[in-house]
Amino acid sequence: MATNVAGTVSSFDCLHKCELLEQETNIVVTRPLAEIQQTGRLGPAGWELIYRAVDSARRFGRYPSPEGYDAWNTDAVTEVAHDFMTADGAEGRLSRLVATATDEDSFSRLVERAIHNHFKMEARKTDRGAALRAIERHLQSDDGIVAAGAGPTRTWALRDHTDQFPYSGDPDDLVAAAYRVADVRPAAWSETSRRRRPLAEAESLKRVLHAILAAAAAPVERGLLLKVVLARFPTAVVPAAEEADEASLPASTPVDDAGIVAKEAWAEMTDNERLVVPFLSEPAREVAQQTGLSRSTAHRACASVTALLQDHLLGVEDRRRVMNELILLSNGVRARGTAIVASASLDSEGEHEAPTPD
Amino acid sequence: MRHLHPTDTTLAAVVDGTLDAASFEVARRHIEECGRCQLRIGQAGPPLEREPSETATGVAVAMAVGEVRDDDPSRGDIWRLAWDDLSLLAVVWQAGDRDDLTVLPVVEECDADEWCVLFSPSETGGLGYFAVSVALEATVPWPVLDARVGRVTTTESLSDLRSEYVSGSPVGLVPRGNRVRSELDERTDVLDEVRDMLEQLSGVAWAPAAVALTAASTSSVDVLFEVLPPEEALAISRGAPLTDSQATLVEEATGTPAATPPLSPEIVRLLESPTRKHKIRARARRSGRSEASERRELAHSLHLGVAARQAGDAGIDYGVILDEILDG
Repeated sequence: MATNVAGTVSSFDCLHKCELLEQETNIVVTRPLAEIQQTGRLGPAGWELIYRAVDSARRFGRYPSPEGYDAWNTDAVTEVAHDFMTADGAEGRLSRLVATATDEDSFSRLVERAIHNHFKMEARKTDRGAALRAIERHLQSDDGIVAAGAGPTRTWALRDHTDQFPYSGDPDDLVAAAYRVADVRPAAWSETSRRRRPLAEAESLKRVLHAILAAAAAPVERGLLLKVVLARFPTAVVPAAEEADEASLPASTPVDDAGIVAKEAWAEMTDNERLVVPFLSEPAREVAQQTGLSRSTAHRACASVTALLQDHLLGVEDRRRVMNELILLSNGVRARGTAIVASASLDSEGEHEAPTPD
Repeated sequence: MRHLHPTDTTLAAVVDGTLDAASFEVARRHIEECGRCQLRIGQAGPPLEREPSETATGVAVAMAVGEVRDDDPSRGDIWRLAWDDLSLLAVVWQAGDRDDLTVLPVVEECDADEWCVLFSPSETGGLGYFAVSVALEATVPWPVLDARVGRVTTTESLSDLRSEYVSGSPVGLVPRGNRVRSELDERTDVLDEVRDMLEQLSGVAWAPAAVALTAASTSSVDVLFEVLPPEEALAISRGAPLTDSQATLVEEATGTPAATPPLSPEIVRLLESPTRKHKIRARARRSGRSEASERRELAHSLHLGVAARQAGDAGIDYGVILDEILDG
């Protein structure tokens, strides 16, 4: 498999090519950064850049389509592009991008990065995020519940159980405990309401959370608590968009428990986590070597995927089988990427001609 | 310098076959050895069909994009730091007369940790919300200064948080980011990247290590005449610094690094001034050289230009000659 990163896409090359093309064809190649610097405004070239950057980001970043769209289409891309440019703070953000850019290529990179950040910020507004925030609000206002830690490892426990190790039992036991709570009332909500469907009315939700934590008799981690609550209230959340690569997974994807657990874990992983899965037993230096990530990023990716897998592997007997499935997925997707580029290379031979320098 | 991944737009062009051959080859070589890019391509979604006449449109958005290069940096200035493919914004904390500068990097508000001061748009002169990290304070050399793009209206909060960071004693209420409580916090990746960029910028050095050509190194002069065209060898023997290509030829011939005369402080100062940086970068772009290499070429050309005028010319202005070379 590939090891070190090699080669660069030079910013100098891209701008040089634009200049050469202008010289050869007498056609003015409109450049977004130059357009802004000349006019003080984002114009047609800039909008085109942002549209393409949003389209590329949704394609390679695996972001779900925006609310109101079942799948990505050109209207959805346009809507996100407009949101990016009209959201609170957008003008200042674009000013910073212009101020930081040194040429067209650097401006394009900076815009892409900003768009990825925009997607991540928007993801926090999804139903799952809303559900987690609702849970956290209830927990924080409950004096009988104690929080510890932060981020993905944050836990909540009843006061009598704070000195226990985090819950590592069967999540289904907690779901069952949640269902045993009687007289759970839904919150007042109308399908025509613009608000998301709440999990339940406040007092009912409080009793359900208490029941879950009492059944655990231990601190429960954030991700697990969200999973249990969503299992108890399945209609409160719209599922994320289907993975684009599911249909093209290796043919040996099994339809059994290990395969299902692996696919669920895979779906939750970030790109870096997916990348490091085959190398979890290696030192960070070696992981960095094998993946092209920096050592610190590789270390963090390994730590976070290990934490994620601890959650998913709870109660799973054949953990080795799950790990093998995940390694197969990781290697398979990388191989697919390599094959796509190789195919594109064959297709492009003789078709594309670079502008010839003077 | 660090190696950059292709942008997603470039990856899309690779996959869709819309990239020119030369750019495709550069991207292909990178992807061949980069697991991260292989993964992104392998799991990418399909392209969308777009009507040929369909173009993106939207309201023209105005923004503040002023750049100043003539003023010396001072505390509170927001400068763009740049070298080759690297660029970032930073607030100047300390600036001596051509000594190294101390800077505090600008980061996005969403990436700010507890050692970042949060600034509101009214405090950033048109650059919106951002944060400035006192923990990532760095010393950078003058050549990385590119342009002043603004000023923060107050540095008091930076001073307070910096004091707290150094002493460990809280000094009062400062608008700051949230504490990072876990190594899994995704902000740590971003802040690490900023730290890496600053490390690279801090290490920028372009002026060759000077080894004076003395009588003891006459043999070196002989080598120059053997390896280089006579006029080039003569210029170097009279004090012109070697260009990178000349140094390579000499080193290949001798097996040891080439001796090079020291650069005059005035030449160094001229070539490190922000006022000429954008022209130097443009030349480097056209020639395919790095900024460091381009400066060494210019130092050589400047020396030749000065030497050509010295006969009979009084009061040579190195700056005028350099500007002629840059504008030529």
